[in-house]
Amino acid sequence: MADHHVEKHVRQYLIVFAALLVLTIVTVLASRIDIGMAGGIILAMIIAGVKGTLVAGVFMHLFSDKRKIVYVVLIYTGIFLLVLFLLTALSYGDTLDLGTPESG
Amino acid sequence: MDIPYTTAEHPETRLYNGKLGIWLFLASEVLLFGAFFSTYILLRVGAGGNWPVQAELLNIPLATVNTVILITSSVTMVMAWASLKMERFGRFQLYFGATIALALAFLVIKGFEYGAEFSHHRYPKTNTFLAIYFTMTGLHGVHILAGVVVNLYHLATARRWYRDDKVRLANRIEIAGLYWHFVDLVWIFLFPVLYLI
Repeated sequence: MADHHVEKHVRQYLIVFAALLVLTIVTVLASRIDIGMAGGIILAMIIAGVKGTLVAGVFMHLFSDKRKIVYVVLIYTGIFLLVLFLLTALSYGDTLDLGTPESG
Repeated sequence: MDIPYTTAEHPETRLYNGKLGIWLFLASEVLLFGAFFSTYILLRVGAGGNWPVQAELLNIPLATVNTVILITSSVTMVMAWASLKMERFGRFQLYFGATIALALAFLVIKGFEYGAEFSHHRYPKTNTFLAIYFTMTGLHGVHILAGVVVNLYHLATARRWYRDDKVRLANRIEIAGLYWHFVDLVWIFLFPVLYLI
């Protein structure tokens, strides 16, 4: 039997599609604005974050699918991902000076 | 022996098994690509000012077109799944075929991009940025290729599955779709990181 519940979502998919196209253009145009290196990175990552949320939330059904186990998996993945990035950050706090290797 | 819970929900997870499987796989993929993004940050920050202007080395218009292509393929993929749920098999074939065609178009354009880099004698060994650029886009490209192979298999066998078990076919396409949207999601971050900032 056809799932009529899905028909309601089709319009939502098309709206998200339009939003993703607009945000892609915005990303490219924003990269041409001179707001400094840090500002440029933050703006680009915010736009990419919004696009990613739309894809994960609507196309991957995370907004409508309330299965707890998927969120548990994603939360643990997020924690490990955060640790990966923190390891990189920690390497800049490392003040250990090993000096120059001796020749010979 | 039949594979259990291909259509019915597992009483513990409240998901069919394939869906739990793809989410676990995608979790591992997040960490795989996450490691490369982390590496990129380490290399770029570590290089200080000794980092090329990325936009001068790469073709932003082509990459923008590829971004649009991949986003469009994500929509056609979800529409293919929705068509199956609405029992419109003809539309499913159309949308699913379009998804595969768009994926191939992405790879062809990526090939042109790589070709242009090589013609300017820019290789992974040329500098650190190009090394991480080719590694990350190459890994992403392999994922696109894998998606094309799996989706071609699904397209070839869809009619039989639709006749025998519509629900299971829709679930198989949903799983393929989750993978495909993830590949799109990775590109959404790769595009600004490698081309624009």
